[in-house]
Amino acid sequence: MQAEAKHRPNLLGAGGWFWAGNYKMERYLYTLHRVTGLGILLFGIFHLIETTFFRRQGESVWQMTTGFLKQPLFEVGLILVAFAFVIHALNGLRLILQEFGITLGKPKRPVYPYQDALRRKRGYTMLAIAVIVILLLVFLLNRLVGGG
Amino acid sequence: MFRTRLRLLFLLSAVGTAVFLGIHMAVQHLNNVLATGELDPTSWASTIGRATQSGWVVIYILLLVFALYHALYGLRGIILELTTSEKALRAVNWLFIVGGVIVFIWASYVPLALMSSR
Repeated sequence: MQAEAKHRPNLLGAGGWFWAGNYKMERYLYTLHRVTGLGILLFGIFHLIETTFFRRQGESVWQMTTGFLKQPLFEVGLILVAFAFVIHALNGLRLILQEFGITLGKPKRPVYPYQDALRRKRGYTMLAIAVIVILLLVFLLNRLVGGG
Repeated sequence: MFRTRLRLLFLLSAVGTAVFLGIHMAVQHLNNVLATGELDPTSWASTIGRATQSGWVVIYILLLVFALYHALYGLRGIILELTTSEKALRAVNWLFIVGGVIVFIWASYVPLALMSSR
């Protein structure tokens, strides 16, 4: 990896997710997207083990497993996974729309002071964040009124 | 062209995952807000109730297909950003293809076996 990095002086590795210079909001959303994606993947592995290996062994093993997972630590983890899913899904939708050029607007002549397409259309990003926050509050409300 | 198609599949699988995982999350974690009538969606009776309905089994298997492809392709992208080695590329490709197929067979066999045993 070190020898390889000598030939790629701009390679920042995983550290570049968090710091690569003059960051803007979209860059932090990129980091959040990666972190939530990896978190959901990790949860997904455990969830698959729970719902296949343990569920196949019958009711008593299933009840023991779900009983164990109702500890406060796992409950908090589950809320974080729900939050991660909402953030990853809605930010992902924003990225897909951008990839197809839908939310970027028409190209403009580069007139000083330069403003990139992302910042000209920042309203879409703010809308995605607002929807994310509302959905997070709905999940939290369900939890507070004793839901699953 | 082949890589572009794989990338397009990654985006389509993201939409599929969001839809089916959204359904799963709504049933499991919004039962009070949506008044689904489920007191505890993780109870054995509730779980087996869903596992015996073919509609739910189809939803879970589709979710598995979309989520597995999206997760493995996404993780492959992250790993390959950190290296340019051809060997690593081939190893990661084969590991994820073989691993993905094994996980898919096992994780879709369980709900199908549960449904047919009832």
